[in-house]
Amino acid sequence: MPPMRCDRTTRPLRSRITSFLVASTVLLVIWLGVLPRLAQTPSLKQYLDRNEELGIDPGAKFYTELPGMRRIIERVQTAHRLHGAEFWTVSNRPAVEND
Amino acid sequence: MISRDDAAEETGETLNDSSFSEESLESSVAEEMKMVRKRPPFLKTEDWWAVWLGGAILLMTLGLTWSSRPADQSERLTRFLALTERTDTVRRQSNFNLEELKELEKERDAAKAGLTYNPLKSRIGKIGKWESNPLDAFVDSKGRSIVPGLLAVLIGCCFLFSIGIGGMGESVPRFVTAFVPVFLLAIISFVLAGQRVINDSNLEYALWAILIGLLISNTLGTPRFLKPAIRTEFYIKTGLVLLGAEILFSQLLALGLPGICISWVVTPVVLISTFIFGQKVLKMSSPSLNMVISADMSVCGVSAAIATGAACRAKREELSLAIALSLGFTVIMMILMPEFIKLVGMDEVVAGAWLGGTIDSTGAVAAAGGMVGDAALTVATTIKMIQNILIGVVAFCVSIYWVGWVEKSPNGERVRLVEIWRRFPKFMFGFLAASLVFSFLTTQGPIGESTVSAVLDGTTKLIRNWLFCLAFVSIGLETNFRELLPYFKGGKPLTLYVVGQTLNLVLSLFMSWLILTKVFPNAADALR
Repeated sequence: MPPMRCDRTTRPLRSRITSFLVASTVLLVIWLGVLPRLAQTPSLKQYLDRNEELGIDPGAKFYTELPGMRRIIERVQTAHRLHGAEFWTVSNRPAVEND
Repeated sequence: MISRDDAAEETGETLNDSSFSEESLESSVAEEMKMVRKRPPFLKTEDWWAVWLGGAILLMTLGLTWSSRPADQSERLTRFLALTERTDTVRRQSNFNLEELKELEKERDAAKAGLTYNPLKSRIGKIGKWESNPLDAFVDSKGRSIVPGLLAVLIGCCFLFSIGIGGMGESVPRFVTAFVPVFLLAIISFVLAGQRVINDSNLEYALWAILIGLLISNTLGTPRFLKPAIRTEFYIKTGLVLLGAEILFSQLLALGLPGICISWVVTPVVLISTFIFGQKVLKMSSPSLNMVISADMSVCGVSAAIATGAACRAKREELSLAIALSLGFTVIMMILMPEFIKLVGMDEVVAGAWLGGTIDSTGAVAAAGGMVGDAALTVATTIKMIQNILIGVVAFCVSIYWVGWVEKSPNGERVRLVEIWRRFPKFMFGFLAASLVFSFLTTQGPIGESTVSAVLDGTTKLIRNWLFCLAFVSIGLETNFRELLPYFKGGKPLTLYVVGQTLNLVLSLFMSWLILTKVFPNAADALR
């Protein structure tokens, strides 16, 4: 293995290691201490559980990553099969009120 | 993205990274380089290798899925069609039994999933969610360890990229040695992102992968031996070819004309207006930063930033900045918009369309839609899905615009066609081909749909996420905090995002209201 040479920093090794350890400790405290406690907060717990129940993954970047997407697509396809014309023709009836 | 291919295509050089050019190459390596220079472009550039590797993953998975289809597939299809008919009959009844309908739909979904089988499905490792013990992330929903799956991804990716690296004339052993630690950093990023509070706040792995990389590069310094595996563009381009398979044009018409009006009219208007605003009013010095922010804000967040960033060769710092802006505002919008909607008593379908058209990230759209109601969730995610598909068109148009108009020839003359071809990011061909092939497959009835779904869900989507994560770790490892600071100067990126998003909010709300309450109210009713 080639020798371990590092880029872009001229700070002494000790200072760099200290910075790394401090930042890593902060991360560990947040992830292992603060966030697990937060997850137990009633309102947040309710939000997390509801997302899971509905198949919602708020971390999804693309529609294919949503666990509940298949069910949603099926629902929209069913609406299309049963009311297809409504999605392609302009309605003559007056505006819908909230019902 | 910063490309090795420009120089490579001009000079036949592929090792154009400055850190490598400083090193003296041994004679055997120099010989190898000479041989590589003689190869045709489609065997020596990163763009083409991304196409071959992405294509190989897609074709291999598709082939395995097709050859493993159940022997009684036609009987299963008949059963699925019968269940669809029964479900529709129950739905047509004015006073149907909701429980009966749910059971039927469940049975129907299972029948559809059973039409095909992807043998790779359980073999690809995916880091799970966890709440208080990070080790929970290494166990799947059935309690099985995912470590073998992670090893499979590590070995598979390492093998495939080694072929590409070797094909480009670079050292395979050095790449393999470096790839393992970079992959471990990607695992750490996924574990950080998998904490439930973080995941459900839409703080995606992209952010943590960049931060983990930054933490190392800005404290300890990035070890030189990691360099061969720090291949941001290679991972992104290959990941984008895989993403192409998820851009299914058949889903474009999911909401008929209302969906097209809301997604395909507002989105391009906002994208173009924001880009022009950045160039003419804010006078942003970097058109690529302007474009990436405009695209991630108007289309679909991180995935749009990755695709357009690659199409317009944005710098890695620009991509990081655009992603950070997008994620920051997404969290705010995901919380505030549902509250505002409930406060004013907005119609659920209109609200869903508004959320889907404005919040950047798909996951955040679903979370916000879920807070409003079931109909809002359905409409919001479907609108966002249509926008997701737009990124294929947007990325292609941006790449053409960039090589033809933005990157002018040195004497300022209009670029000739041959020059456009030379500069065009070739991985886009893989991206588009994957999209067209898989879109065609989904039009082949339930079996086609089920096959595509099995390929994407079981394999390629997971590998794509790993590749993007490796890319973001690479970005972090290559970036110095000081290099990011000039981008914040004058607050122009922030101003651009805020102005663009405000326009997006206003236009999307108006269009959603107009289309779903005035022009197609019956369609809105059908979705309730």
